[in-house]
Amino acid sequence: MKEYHIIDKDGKKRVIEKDNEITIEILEEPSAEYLSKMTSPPPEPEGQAIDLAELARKLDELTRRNP
Amino acid sequence: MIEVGILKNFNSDTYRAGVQLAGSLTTYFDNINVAKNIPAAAMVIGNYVILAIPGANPKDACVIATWPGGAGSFLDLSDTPSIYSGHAFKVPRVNAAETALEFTTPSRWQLVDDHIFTANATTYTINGLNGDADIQYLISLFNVCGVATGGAAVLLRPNNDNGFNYPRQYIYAQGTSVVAGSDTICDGFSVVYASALGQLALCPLMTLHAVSGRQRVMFGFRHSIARWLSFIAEWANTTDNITSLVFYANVANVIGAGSRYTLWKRVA
Repeated sequence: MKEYHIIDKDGKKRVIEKDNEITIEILEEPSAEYLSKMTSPPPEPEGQAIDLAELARKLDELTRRNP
Repeated sequence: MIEVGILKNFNSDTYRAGVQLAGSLTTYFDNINVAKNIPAAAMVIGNYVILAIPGANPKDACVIATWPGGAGSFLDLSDTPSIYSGHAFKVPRVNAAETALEFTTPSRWQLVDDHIFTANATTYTINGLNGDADIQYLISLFNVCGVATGGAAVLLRPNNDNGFNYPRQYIYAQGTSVVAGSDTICDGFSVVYASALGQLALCPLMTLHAVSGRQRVMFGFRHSIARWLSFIAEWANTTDNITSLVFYANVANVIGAGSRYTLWKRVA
């Protein structure tokens, strides 16, 4: 296994050449150019919420009406 | 005195043999007589033999009968592989024709990389993969956010594909609410979401089917900011072989020191 650093247009990267033919690249210090091109994150998932307590209350009510 | 032994050597000129007593590694009779009524061709090394030892005197011992011994090793059998070399860690199985045994690599998970970050990072790229051969990946992430941010994601991109090619469906629990939904807004598999320095985001297990020619589907669970979320997502590319996986943080240092990313691949 070999480990070293390189600097390219993305910035400073740690490179790990493993014995299993896998190479790991870790961008540890991104360059200003790289930072300027970063995109916004996709928002966290959103959707129609179901309140479980409310759902349980409605189920109880239905059960009382239709025992 | 009669003993059973294993024939170790035989001289057809002198009609003498060396015999090791069965079940003993140390008791060895050397240069003993062989009955002349036993054909030389029958004296096959490895055969069992019967030793007659009159008066228990080894000098008078004589081989009086012989018969084929068992195979010396698994490789000597006619319906088994003939060589171990090149088959380390494989196991035998019945072949497709159901006529013999063959060596095969057992299906198992093999570690590709297990990385504990000692410094903050913005991308983590695993090169040298072969999705068609690897078949399936297992991914486990323990992410410690290395920066204060209003909200940042780590996206997993096969072959660094940063297009909006990752439709997903999800269901998550937050507080007492359950939310379900789907969208096509992701430019990578969204595997980490964090907003505060030191905040943990756990993705204990995700699986990605990696073989080209069909949908590459990822299924997993993850925790982030008081949510427990289960998702199934697809990489909308059925053609390209996966040769790399890029974990891309869209804010620098979201993959903080102390994070641990682990990848396994399926073997056979």
